[in-house]
Amino acid sequence: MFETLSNSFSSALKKIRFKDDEKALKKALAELKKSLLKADVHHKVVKELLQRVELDTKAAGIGRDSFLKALQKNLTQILTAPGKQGFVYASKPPTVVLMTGLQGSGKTTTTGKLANYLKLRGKKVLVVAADLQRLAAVEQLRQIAQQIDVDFFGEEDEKDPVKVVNDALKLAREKLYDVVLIDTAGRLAIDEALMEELKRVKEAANPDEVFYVADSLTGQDAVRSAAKFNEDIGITGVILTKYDGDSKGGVAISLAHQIGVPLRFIGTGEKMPDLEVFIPERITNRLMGA
Amino acid sequence: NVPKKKKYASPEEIEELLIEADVEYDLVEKIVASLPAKVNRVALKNELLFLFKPANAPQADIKPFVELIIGVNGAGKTTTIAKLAYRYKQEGKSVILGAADTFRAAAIEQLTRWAQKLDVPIVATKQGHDPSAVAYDTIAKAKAKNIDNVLIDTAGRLHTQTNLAEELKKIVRVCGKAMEGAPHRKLLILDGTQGTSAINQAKTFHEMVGVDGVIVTKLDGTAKGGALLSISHELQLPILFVGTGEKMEDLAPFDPNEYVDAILDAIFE
Ligand SMILES: Nc1nc2c(ncn2[C@@H]2O[C@H](COP(=O)(O)OP(=O)(O)OP(=O)(O)O)[C@@H](O)[C@H]2O)c(=O)[nH]1
Ligand SMILES: Nc1nc2c(ncn2[C@@H]2O[C@H](COP(=O)(O)OP(=O)(O)OP(=O)(O)O)[C@@H](O)[C@H]2O)c(=O)[nH]1
Ligand SMILES: [K+]
Ligand SMILES: [Mg+2]
Ligand SMILES: [Mg+2]
Repeated sequence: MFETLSNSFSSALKKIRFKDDEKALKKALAELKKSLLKADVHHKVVKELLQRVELDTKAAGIGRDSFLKALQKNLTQILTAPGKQGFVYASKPPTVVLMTGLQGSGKTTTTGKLANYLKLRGKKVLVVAADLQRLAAVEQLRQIAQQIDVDFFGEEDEKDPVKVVNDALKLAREKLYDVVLIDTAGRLAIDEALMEELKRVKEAANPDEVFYVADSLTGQDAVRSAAKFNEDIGITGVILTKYDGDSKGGVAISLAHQIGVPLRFIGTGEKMPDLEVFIPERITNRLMGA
Repeated sequence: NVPKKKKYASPEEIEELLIEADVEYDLVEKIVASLPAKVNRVALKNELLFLFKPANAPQADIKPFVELIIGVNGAGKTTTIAKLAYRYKQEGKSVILGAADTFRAAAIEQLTRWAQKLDVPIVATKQGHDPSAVAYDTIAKAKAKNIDNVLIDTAGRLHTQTNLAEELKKIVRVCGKAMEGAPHRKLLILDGTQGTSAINQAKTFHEMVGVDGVIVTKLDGTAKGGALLSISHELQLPILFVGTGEKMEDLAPFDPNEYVDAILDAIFE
């Protein structure tokens, strides 16, 4: 999993010889800390990782090999959150998915990408425009749906997303849709009124999955916001967007460990096919080199 | 688990405070190394304030005054245009918008709805059309109608997408053809919740087209936008405004004092 240790981590490794002393280990750990923080890994996760690596290295005898092994083992553990992988269908259709997250994280685009992904797998998909806040959000989803030739549900001039969701689900059951993807308005985790609204939307939708769509360029706040969404709404998966940016995967490592919810997909571009099932190795590779 | 507020903090506590605020780690190391074993609020505040150069990029007396809005996807460009337009209108100026994001689905409709809400004219074409032509037409219309301020939206582009750099450079060139010296300000919109990437964004966009000022959005959340410290200190880019919400009123001039206080509030009384 970690064959290609390059750049950022190799500078840590350089500080420590085949057999070495505690002083060298301290230096290597300081380098490691630096590269993790520069990759925007959450500081609590960094602290924990450093502690574990120090303990394991000492237990095995300080040296380059034991340091490397300790790093590999603990990074792997931290990346592995228990739960589902990729897209999982409900036993009884339709599978209902609620798309949630902060403003501008990529919810609407990712709703389209997922719809496209499922359509290519032969599923009958309905996308639902329940963002009635942002100007032209309904129109955005309508155009995306048209572009990928997937059915769209929206209600012009409706103010209550709960009503939209109820009407959409009624239609989905009648018309035997396999999957219903519900786009919601972006909101801050500390915005109580909007979080309250999202709770009502969730109750109405009774979703099989609540995806939290997170921008992979986010800094230390990624954990705080995701944790609050998880506490208030309950999320079953994370989708990381804008992975085509310069993020080194710090958010991925932080979220998997601190929130304990599995990463399911990553978005790697603005176009509809730019969606990949999350594979931990990719994140690790990005974090460790390239 | 609300941490107790204190009078003095140790370098370790300050390190954590700054990291949590997304201050670049190299800068954190530098700041922390210069601190004594016990630091009070005022001392640290001065240390951080020092990083902000008095930064103003005043609006010159040019008519029309053309501003090009750039930044990565979802940073808040289109919304910030509405906020700036609202502000200029409050100052008694006339404004026109240019919908030069011809790429993203319903980007044109989004800005058009804002124009209706603000009651300002807009120049827009169809999705897929040449964005620099839209920029040109907007400036031409502003000149013909004697309008004070031109705000041109652009499609979100990651600083890593080098293929989109050319398009942006072309928009800048074509603005200059429509009016000499335009765009008079290229404003970079940065998402305040982003980490070290924001610094890379500022660097790359600055190298690409030359950035005249930065507006940082989404500081109404729990993020502190500490990348600004490096952007101001190292890149010497002026921070002009902060976005504090989704409404057109939610824009405030950047105040280093207030900004630093918001960071310090997390641990200091
Ligand atoms: N480069 C890149 N851009 C993306 C990706 N996902 C989304 N975007 C872009 O990010 C911007 C915001 O995406 P939206 O889907 O509108 O985000 P949202 O979360 O629905 O935004 P709000 O509804 O305003 O909260 C758009 O310009 C998208 O094209 C991605 O994986 N990579
Ligand atoms: N809370 C908060 N939300 C904001 C702020 N500025 C913008 N937003 C929201 O962020 C989301 C994205 O804003 P846009 O203005 O569409 O961003 P953009 O940069 O034009 O996005 P693209 O054109 O897709 O690249 C919208 O939901 C806005 O309402 C802000 O200061 N605070
Ligand atoms: K990151
Ligand atoms: Mg949306
Ligand atoms: Mg926009």
